[in-house]
Amino acid sequence: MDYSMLLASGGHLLTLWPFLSLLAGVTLGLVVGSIPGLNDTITLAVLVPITFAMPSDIAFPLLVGVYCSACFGGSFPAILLKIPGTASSVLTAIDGYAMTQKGQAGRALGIATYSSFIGGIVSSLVLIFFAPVLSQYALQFGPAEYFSLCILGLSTVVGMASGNALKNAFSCLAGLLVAMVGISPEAGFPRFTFGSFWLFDGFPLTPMLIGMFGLSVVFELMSQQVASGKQDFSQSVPVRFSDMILPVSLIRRLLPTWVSSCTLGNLVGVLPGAGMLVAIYMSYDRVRRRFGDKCGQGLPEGIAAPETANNSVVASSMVPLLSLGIPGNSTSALFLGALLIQGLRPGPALFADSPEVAYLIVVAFLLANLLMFPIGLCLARSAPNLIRAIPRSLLTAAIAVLCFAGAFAVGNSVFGVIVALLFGFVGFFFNRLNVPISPFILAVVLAPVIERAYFQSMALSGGSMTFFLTQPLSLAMLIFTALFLAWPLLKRSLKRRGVQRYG
Amino acid sequence: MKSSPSIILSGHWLDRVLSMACVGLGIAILIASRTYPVSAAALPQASAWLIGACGIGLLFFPGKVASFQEYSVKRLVVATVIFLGALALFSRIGADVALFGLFLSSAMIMGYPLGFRLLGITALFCAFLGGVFGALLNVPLSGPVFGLLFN
Repeated sequence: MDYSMLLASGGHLLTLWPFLSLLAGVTLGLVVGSIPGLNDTITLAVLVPITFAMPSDIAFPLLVGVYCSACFGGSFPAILLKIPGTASSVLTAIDGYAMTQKGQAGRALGIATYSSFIGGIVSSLVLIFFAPVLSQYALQFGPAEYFSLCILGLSTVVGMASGNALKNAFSCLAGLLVAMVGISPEAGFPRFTFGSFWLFDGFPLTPMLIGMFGLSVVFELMSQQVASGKQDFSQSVPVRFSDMILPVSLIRRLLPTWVSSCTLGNLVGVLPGAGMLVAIYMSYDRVRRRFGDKCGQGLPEGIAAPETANNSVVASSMVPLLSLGIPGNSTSALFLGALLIQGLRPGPALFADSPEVAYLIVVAFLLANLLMFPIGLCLARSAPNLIRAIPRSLLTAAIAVLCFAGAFAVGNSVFGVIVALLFGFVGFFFNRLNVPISPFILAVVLAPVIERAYFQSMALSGGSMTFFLTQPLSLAMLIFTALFLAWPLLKRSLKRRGVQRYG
Repeated sequence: MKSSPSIILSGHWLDRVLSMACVGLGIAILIASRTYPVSAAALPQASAWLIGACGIGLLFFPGKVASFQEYSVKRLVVATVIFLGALALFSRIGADVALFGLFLSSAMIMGYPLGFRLLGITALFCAFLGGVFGALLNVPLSGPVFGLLFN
């Protein structure tokens, strides 16, 4: 690892414009996270096209700031109003709101702030020390290892992610098929272009992401029944700043929860495709098994576990993207889009070719988490006022307009808008049919890598499929792939056995 | 006030439609890729078989039932018409008119009352956006007004 570059990047981040950009990103992330219906992916989808004309030392701190703080911001309305701002704060709402009802809203917000801060810092350190080392190791990867790694990533989203494994598989396969539109990398043959020259280069990634994450939400908001959109935010919750500062005894009590949730969050984050929800459910499940009925009645550990886990996933999910070029989740796929439109190629060569950008990004995660703590403490109290102040109608209209403008600006063509609109529809129906979007995006990004690595491996081995099994690392990854794919079936049979044994 | 009529689409039949669509998609891809060279057809055909198998699997294990209960088909159609209208304006006149119309109509469908306040907010937001893209980021958006002001 290049420590001098690490320090230089840290120093550069503390200069005026990069620091202001990071500050703006953290604040924006906390604000959008605390508004139900908005989250980090929508915000990043809208921001990525805006950042492509910015210098990379301003663009990336802004994006990192939003990514780091949005899932923490989601805990504010979850605790104060029992309305999760983001999906990652669904479990925080259970014990958080119970504490609010007991008149301990400040304490609950304090636990969320400390937990998010600790999770975020540990995860940033994992990114800082792990990504450069892994990228050096990954430079030795051949096509067989890349092929197996991509297949492993896809199998993780199919087998390990929450929900129906078949729907995850469908989403993944649909993504692969969408990525195949355009000229094939090996034969140079146009596939599924139907004579349209727009499709020869395939569907552009950024407008696709804008559609799947931005416009799909606009469709959801605009087609919701008016009555269901009305929520009562009138209740006033008194929050004292002094309550948010945790006493040493509580810190000591929460320490084991922080350690276990941090470990789980980082392990899940580093694994391509596993996702944030897996980490928070696993962490919360540990607390539930330990405390039983106390869980859900305002237990501090019930807030600490999911909040530490979700922030632990944030920076560690960037490890596979920065070191291997494989996004860990849908938000890091948006980062991939941002890197590509800045003319950078994520992967093992990033730390060697553009170390100033690579180290800037990893240090920005650490600094963003440091900034998140004081800004979070200040903003937490005003979250309900914020939700009341912004009319949902204007917010929806603004997102729609930003999506259209962003999709147009990326390629300066209406084709981008058409693609965004098309995938906005796809995203809306995916959401309604409970088909997850993350596997789709991951497959779109990984499909060209899989295809290229497959044909290179075939060329190297003279067309023998056993080549993937003769390379030790590739074989190990394929064994894990088989385990992840078999996991839903194993889980089912284990559950059945448990039911039979305990009635 | 009478609420807008809605069609409740929830239920297993949509999941069945999804599984049938998977099978149909698989068959369509196999047909479309049969004339491709072997190297170009390998991955699409493998994916087509898998997606077909997935469709058959979904027929028996549909998982969590699809839900459209909170959604109104009428509002969805109106939203689609607004977006398609904005797209047409984008390609024929320019970004400024399209974005203005899109903001105004989106806010109205979400229940914001039409008036000078909304018109003012819309104009200001669109001008701000044109300024950010055109003057600040050097990525000019198209259109007669944006062209006059920022390009």
